[in-house]
Amino acid sequence: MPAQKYKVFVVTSGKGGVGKTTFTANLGCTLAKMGERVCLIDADIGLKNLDVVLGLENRIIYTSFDVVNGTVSAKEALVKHKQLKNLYLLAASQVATKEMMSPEDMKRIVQELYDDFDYILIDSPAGIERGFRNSVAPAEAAFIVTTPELPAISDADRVIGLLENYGFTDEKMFIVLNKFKPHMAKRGDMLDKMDVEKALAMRIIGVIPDSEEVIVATNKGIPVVLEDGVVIGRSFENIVRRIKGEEVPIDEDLKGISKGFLSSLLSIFKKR
Amino acid sequence: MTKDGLVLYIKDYTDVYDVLQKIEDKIKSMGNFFAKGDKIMLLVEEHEKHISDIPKIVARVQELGLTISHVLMGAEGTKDVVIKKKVDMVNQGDTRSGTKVVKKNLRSGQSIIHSGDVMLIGNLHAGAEIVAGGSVFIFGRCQGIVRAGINEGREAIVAVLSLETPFVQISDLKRTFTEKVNRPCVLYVKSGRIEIGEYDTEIGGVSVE
Repeated sequence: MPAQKYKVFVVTSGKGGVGKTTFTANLGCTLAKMGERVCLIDADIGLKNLDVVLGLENRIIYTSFDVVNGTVSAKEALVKHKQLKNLYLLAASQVATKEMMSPEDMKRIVQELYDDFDYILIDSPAGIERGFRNSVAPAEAAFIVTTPELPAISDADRVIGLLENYGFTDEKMFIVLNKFKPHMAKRGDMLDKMDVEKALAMRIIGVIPDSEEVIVATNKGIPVVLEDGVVIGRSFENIVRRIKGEEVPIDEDLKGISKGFLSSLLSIFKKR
Repeated sequence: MTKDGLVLYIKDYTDVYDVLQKIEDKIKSMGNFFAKGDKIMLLVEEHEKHISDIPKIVARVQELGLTISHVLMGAEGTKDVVIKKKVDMVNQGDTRSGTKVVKKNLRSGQSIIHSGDVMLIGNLHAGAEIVAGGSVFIFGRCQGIVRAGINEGREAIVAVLSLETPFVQISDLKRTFTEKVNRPCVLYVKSGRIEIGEYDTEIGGVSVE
């Protein structure tokens, strides 16, 4: 297996609603399924939802705010996932605000967890203010989630610029194209991945097709990659392979989508 | 003088104490020009690099009896009134203060402010901005805003590989663009108007009269 380059990732986008939290949860689950020890940190203080996507909202006792206040240590505040025994969550406080935490606090928390995990993923809030700075400070590399829409791409461009100011080089920034609809791109009704790469002047690390399964799974509180027979899981597996340095063609991400669509059609007929 | 006062324009530098001394010398040499409490604005070239020095500069100016009303940062420094004033404040004799070569894509929110020529090896993305005393050369797509010849005047040119910008300013002249020119081209001033010299695919080259 190729050597691991980075351990601490921030997942950010600038624009809201592009799927940062869903991406963080599913990537975390994919890594954990592969046997890695994974810690997810929700940095969206005051508007947390990573716990809901993971289905852990009822298990939270301590949050990162308690760690900052010194009530508990970072390790004591972690919540273990129901199914995956090597996936942990450090939840955000719903009563605190983003101003109550500083980038230094986040660095300390990540430092404390650093040796116990193979991967630490930080889910950044939307925007480029305090919450963004908090989540970027401890990160070694960044995922920038964008959708094939101009507002999301223009915000991604801005965020890449800001990350450059924080010292992130092109090799440490990974663009993820989320909510991609291949049939619309084929018709020319949606920006294709090449258009996005051209607009951002950067390569994309992975394409995640738009899927209704995500909505169903999210509402059940189970990250979609843990459900059986979902095609979307392939994209996440490929992204993991790529960040580990393996060469996987981007087209692999969309393979099986058309087949998946057909087979889902067929399954409808079978049911009848 | 504008209603906000003059702009103190500080070029890219290496030693902040040197700059502080020069500011003191400059303001003292102007004698009675300023009254106590007069407001001036501060514009620092490469402000991202020198961000930690700005409080020192502000403190020194205040010690000299003046008040800083605004610290202009790239995008803010591009308001017309400021640009016009900056023409007076940039050292007129020193227009050829070298070419600044930047090898990266300039992204939304980033800017280059330089008193000489600017050469960008990369794209100028939408929302990014170049303010140059002289000419601007972009080896990439130009989607952001370019203001050239702020110091040098209408002699300045803007050369790009692909013109996709909505707006270009050369000296005091401005032009908006509604259509893209996806070819190498040069923008220059001819009889008080910004013209586009397009790349001639047959002869090869751009003619600028």
